[in-house]
Amino acid sequence: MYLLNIFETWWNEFNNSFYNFSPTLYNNFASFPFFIQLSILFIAIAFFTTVVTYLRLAIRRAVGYYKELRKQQYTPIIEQLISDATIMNEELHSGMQVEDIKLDKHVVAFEKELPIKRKYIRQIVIDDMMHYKKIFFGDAVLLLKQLFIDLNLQKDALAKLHAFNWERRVKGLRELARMEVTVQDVNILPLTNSRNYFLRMQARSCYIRISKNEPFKFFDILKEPLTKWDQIDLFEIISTTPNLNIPNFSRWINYSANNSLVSFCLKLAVYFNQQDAIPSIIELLKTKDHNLRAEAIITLGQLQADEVEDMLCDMYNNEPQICQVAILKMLGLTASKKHTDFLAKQLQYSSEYDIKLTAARSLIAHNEATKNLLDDLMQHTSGLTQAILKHSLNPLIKY
Amino acid sequence: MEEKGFWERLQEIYEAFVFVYGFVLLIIYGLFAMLSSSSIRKFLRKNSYVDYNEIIDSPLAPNISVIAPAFNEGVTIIGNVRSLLTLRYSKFEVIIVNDGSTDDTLEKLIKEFSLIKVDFAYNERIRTEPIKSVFKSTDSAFNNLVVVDKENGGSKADASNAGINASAYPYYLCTDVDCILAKDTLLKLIKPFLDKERRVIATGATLRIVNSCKIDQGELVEVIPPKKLLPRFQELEYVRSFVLGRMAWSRINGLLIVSGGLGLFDKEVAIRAGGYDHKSFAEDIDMITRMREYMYDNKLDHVVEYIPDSECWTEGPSTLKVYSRQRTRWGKGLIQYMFNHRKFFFNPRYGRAGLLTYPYFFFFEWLAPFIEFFGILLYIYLISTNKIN
Repeated sequence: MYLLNIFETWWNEFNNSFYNFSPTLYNNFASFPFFIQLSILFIAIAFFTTVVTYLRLAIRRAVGYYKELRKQQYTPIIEQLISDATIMNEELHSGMQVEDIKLDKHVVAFEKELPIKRKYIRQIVIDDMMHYKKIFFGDAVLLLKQLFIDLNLQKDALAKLHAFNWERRVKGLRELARMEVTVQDVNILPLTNSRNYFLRMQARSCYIRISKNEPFKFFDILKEPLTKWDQIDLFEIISTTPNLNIPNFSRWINYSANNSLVSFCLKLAVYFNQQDAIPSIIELLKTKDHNLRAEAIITLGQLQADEVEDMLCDMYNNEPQICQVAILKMLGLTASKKHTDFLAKQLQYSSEYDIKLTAARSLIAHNEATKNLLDDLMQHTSGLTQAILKHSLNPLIKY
Repeated sequence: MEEKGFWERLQEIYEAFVFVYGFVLLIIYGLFAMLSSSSIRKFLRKNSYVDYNEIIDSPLAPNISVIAPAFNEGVTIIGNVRSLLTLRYSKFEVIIVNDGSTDDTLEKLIKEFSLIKVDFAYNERIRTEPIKSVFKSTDSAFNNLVVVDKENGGSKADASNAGINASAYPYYLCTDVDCILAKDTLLKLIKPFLDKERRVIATGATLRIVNSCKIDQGELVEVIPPKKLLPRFQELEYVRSFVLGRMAWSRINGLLIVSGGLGLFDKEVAIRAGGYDHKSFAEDIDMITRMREYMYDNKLDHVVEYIPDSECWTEGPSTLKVYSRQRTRWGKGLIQYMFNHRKFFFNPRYGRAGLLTYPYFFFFEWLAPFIEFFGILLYIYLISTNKIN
């Protein structure tokens, strides 16, 4: 009823406005039955929306086309100027050290050949430089970065960080990160916890690359969970950025309340083979989160922490299946030969496929040490256990 | 004033109902257009800076099993399997399920890929027709190929279930062996699983019609719109359905269908939901609905995602006979689906899927042919009684 009342009020107002707009047209309209009136109105709205949508599309395409034309006009000049200052730099080719090369005359050339003060030209230069940063290597990269700073382009990128539009902020962050321009933490750190996912993620990637002080400082203030994609992205940056000051990740494994961050730090501890982190990871075995505990167990295996094997075997029976599988996997990763009987027992007597398969694979991971045991098991088992043994021993079946 | 008779009154009520029905449908399409446009813009903004190569290079990327059932596909099987093996991804396996083919599908596969029988510990987590044997290649170039030979189960669902049972990885891509996939399909489809804080249980992408496209050895060389009328209409229907409908439902997390031709699924949830129903004529919509049902019943937060990229090209019916067979199967599937999942109807327990998507399917997909049929009858009646003004 309420909705009907609203509709009735709106309909009366519409009729009044229509009458005031054109009495003749309204009288024609009013002579139709109600359903036809409603249909006409609906058709008019649909027609108007379609026209507006197409117009908008046409305008956007026209603007894009115009920008592309403008870019095409300046790109060859910009490419030549960048090339002269970097890969074709005469001083570099004469054997001068890159630190001693001054780019003043190249900056002058930019000012002479291009209306470099104009914002859109500066943006084209930035875009081109970002492209070349990806494909250049060696001294040319250092010169490119120097040119970027000498042309004061980092100010344009920094200004974007304060824009209202988050997409512009992301653009600014990308430009700074790609050109590896060092900036004050205060400019980026607050953005690493932004409510906007894209901005937050870009700020984190950027922070690791260009933070002046501690590149992992934002881990301390991380509130939002790290998605798997965040982890892949950060892992790629951390593992490929040269001269990165790598901290001891046990700091967050121990104290962070953010489980996704702890999980990520476990992966980093393995990647950087941080044996110092083992005590913190052992402490993590007390967590109530099964998935995280399973991850910690496997991490211990990857770090070859065979001193915890006894403790894990004692824990085994009280653990959920995901952690039991992790313990069996861990014993295979360390392959310390101390718990082959334990593995054989799980293979023989468990009724769970995943447990049997993991136990078999961990036994096989011991190589020669378990050869006789495996032969013996093959002879004295049958059914699923034997099928899993054959499956695991077949070199063509990898998983 | 003359009193109106019962039939005239009924006719008026019916006409008013049809008007409201059509009017609501148009409004829904308007809403679809807005939601879909917002969804596509969000997708584009989100992925404009994404470097998919990061997934390929990363040791943290999850592994995927590609499952493709094959029944009497001897003519095209080799090219299609080669095409699947060349997908761009770091770690994946291709599982071809030979569903009791009576032609030379299996022989061709054995010969081409140097396959031998292996002692494979088949874990029957979902019940299927018996497995005859499992093959692996002795050629290391094809070490990610698994061929499962099984008794014919009479449906793609049974073969897909066998593929799930044989798969080793936590996510599986379900496709048809004759579908042609874009090289980056796995990268694009796994991305939503990685970048959401909520658990993604399935992702789908846009399907297109391959009929007039240029193909070479199972590879798509050039995309050309269908030249024949029927496939062209189907292409248009795909665009409406995928880009408009599914993107819109995905925007409000109400999506209940991911095409059988292409979908990436969370294996654990699919198994817990009981796998594909081999009795269903519409196993794709049935599967997602059961996965959602499982998640809702266990109060587990989840989403089903859709991406607006064209990732899969499939053959559309080009003759009326095949077209009619396809539509009959879809129609039967929809009727069966509506009945099997009737508890979703306006049930708040199933979130937007129960309150919006299922009722939409009921009123505007299931009921539509009946309304159209009565509309034609009424039109004939109005003409014959000279009541059209």
